[in-house]
Amino acid sequence: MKHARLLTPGDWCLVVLLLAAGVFFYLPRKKSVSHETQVLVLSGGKVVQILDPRTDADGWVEGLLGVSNFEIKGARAGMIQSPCPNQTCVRMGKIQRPGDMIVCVPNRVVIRIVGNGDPALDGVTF
Amino acid sequence: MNRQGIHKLVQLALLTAAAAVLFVFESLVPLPLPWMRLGLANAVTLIVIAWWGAKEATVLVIARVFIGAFLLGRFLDPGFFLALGGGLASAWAMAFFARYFSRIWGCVGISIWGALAKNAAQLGLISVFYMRSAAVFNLAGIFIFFSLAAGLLTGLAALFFLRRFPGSGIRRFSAF
Repeated sequence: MKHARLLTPGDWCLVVLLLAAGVFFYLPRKKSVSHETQVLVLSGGKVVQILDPRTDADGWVEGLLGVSNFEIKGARAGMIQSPCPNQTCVRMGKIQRPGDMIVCVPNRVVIRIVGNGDPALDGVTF
Repeated sequence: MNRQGIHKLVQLALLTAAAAVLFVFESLVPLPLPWMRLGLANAVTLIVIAWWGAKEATVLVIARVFIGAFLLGRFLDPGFFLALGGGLASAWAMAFFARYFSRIWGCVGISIWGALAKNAAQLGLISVFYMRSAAVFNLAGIFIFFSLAAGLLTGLAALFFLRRFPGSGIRRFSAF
């Protein structure tokens, strides 16, 4: 044999050891995120209602122009009816992940979801 | 400078150029994290360690990181410092293992140690300077797998090269 093996016995031991260590570090990482997700309803920049996304609810909030109706259904929140002229907030659809928000600029109403579950952004790079 | 010195200078310059090319090429490979790198250039570092030693490898790493950063337009950005720290950690770890443990580990084993040192140093730098939290160490499992794969790859690349060109230095690795 012209050459020795590609990997020495020590190399093989190192590979096996690292595979084991990798599995050891990797497996028990269960998601430590607590699901304390909340739906915040803001009017004029102030939080007026804090709701639990897990309980379905219909609600209303007084804004600058009038009353906006929203609903929480199946852990998703959305604007149902709004007195604003362009209805952008209603067409925003439903939101469900922390970081999501619906903004109604004319009526000064914001619905946002806060919490430390899966965020809407995968990551931030620079 | 005598003939041998010139010979060595030219060889080191060629290897530096090769390492810089690998370094730049590698930045084109998409990876999930912006500063995450395969460390292909570490194969060249390992060759330099096998041919000469830690001093030459240090020179090579610094030159490679500066040239790479200038080519990519990333001089003195976070990735530059991570590359410098990771490259030096890897070079010194590999030099150490090649010097004292070449009976146990061959070219591939030393390369894996180098990849581990590189990733550990980079995680350390990130946690201390950029994130100021130890949260990145939750990635330890992924990084062990990643280091293992990268170390095997670069170690085998260096091994095939060294079998072809054993160099004038002492044969430090048992698995030639």
